[in-house]
Amino acid sequence: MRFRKPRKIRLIIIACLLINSAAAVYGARSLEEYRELKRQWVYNVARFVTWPARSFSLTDTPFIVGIIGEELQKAEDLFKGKTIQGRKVEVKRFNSAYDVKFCHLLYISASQKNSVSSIIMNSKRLKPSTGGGTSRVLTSTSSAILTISDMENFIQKGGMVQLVVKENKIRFQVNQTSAKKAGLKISSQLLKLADSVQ
Amino acid sequence: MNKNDNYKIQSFSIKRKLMLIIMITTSIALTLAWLTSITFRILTFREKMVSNLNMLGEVIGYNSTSAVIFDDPEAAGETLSSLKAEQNIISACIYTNDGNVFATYVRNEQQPEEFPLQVKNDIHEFSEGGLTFFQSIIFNEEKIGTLFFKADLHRLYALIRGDILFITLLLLACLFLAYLVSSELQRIISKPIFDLVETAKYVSDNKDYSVRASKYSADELGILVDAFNEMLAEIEAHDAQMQKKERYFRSLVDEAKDLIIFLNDKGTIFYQSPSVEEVLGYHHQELIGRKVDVLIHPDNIEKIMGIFTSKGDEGEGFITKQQFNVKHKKGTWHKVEGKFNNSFEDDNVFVMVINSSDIH
Repeated sequence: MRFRKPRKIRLIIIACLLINSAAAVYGARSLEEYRELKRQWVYNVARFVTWPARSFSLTDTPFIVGIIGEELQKAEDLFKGKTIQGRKVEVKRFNSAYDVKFCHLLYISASQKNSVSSIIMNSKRLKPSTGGGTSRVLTSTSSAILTISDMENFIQKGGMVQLVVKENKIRFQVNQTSAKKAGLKISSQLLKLADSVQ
Repeated sequence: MNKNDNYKIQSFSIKRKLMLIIMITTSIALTLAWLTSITFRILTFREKMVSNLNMLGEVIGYNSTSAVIFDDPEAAGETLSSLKAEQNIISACIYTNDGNVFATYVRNEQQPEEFPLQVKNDIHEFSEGGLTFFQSIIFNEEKIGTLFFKADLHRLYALIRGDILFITLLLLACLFLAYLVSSELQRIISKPIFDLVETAKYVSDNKDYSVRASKYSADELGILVDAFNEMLAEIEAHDAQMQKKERYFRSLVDEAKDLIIFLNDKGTIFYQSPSVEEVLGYHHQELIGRKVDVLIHPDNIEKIMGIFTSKGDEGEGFITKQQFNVKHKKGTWHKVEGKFNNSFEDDNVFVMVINSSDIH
């Protein structure tokens, strides 16, 4: 009986610490608010990027947003009825690094920290599915896939846009070099808001 | 213009009238031109200012799209602060779609500006404080916010002031030029008239009908000059004829043997024919200016003077015969019969004619 009370206290303290740490990262915003912001933010980034024509085999080819991991919940709701590059948006979820198929935008959850390098490497070789008689073979050029994540050192690992929370705000860094290599054009409007551009 | 002014203007010389007409016409035309061009210029300046600022707003709006989309007021503020380069922008702000002020810019930080609470759709308005704009910020055909900015009109007014000054000076110069040109050109009309008047004055002052007015043109004035000259020629010819006639009569009188003496109604002699010298011994011009008394016997003088006073009863051109004694220069008296008549259709001129054969 004498030890039960401290245990309770310990739990409360842990809970408090967890909440505090979340509050420290996300500032005054609640976690749900932050998630909503992040979804919106991913969509906004996509609006300032131009994909090469070769990324879309047909005029009605949808814009595919790929998500690895558990993040960007409710992304399907957000993209419903919205367009990117004037195309309908289709959300595809991949369970693991090996599961990843062709997409235009690939969001990599922080949980994939260990396999991020290979995901990025593999993504460069991904080709649009050649269904419906179209045979588009992309061999020499790497696929135009915009990679986004909020994990640390994402840029250093070859990612293109890294989300950073700073002073209660979502900031980001851009790896312009890898984006260019993939044939993606990032608007100067976006670049000027970036904390750093490589 | 009232009657008095009208009269005053009518008393001006033709030259002044012409100048007045030309200058009034020119002034009215130039004033109209001035008004039109100033109005046009002001409208043009305003239109130009609006279109320039519209363009500026579009650039600023475009440059702030990402900041608005990514909810980055700081970056938007930075974009807005690029308006510093445009000196006449007083303030600017960006509204989000829900009408909140998202980012602001104020030219003079000591003078805080109030931003309108009501966001309007794309519009520009000239107001007391300046020119205000509301412009939608469009991204991918979607309205993401509204840019508001306010420009002062100092530069516009300075431009307009400079323009008004320039146009005014230009038109004044035109007016002066019109004055110079018209003061030369009005001579076309005023010179012939002036000459005609001078000639008429000379003729009337000197009774000299030999001069002629000079003709400058074939217009109405030319016709007038011709008619005037024709009249002068006619008068001159008439005069010459009269003189010829007079000379003829004078020669007749001068050659006559009869003694002819011209008198006025007071009995003063003003002409004696040469025969007076031959017959009565009074040499040439000796009697002129003297009373007829010197010639006529005192007993007869009353009778003779009676002729002059009673002439009215007889009417024009009467002839009266009288006997009386005339005195020779040497003092001798001679009884003669004289004829008196008034002549030259002039009541005050009398002619006394004495037959020289009466004197022995």
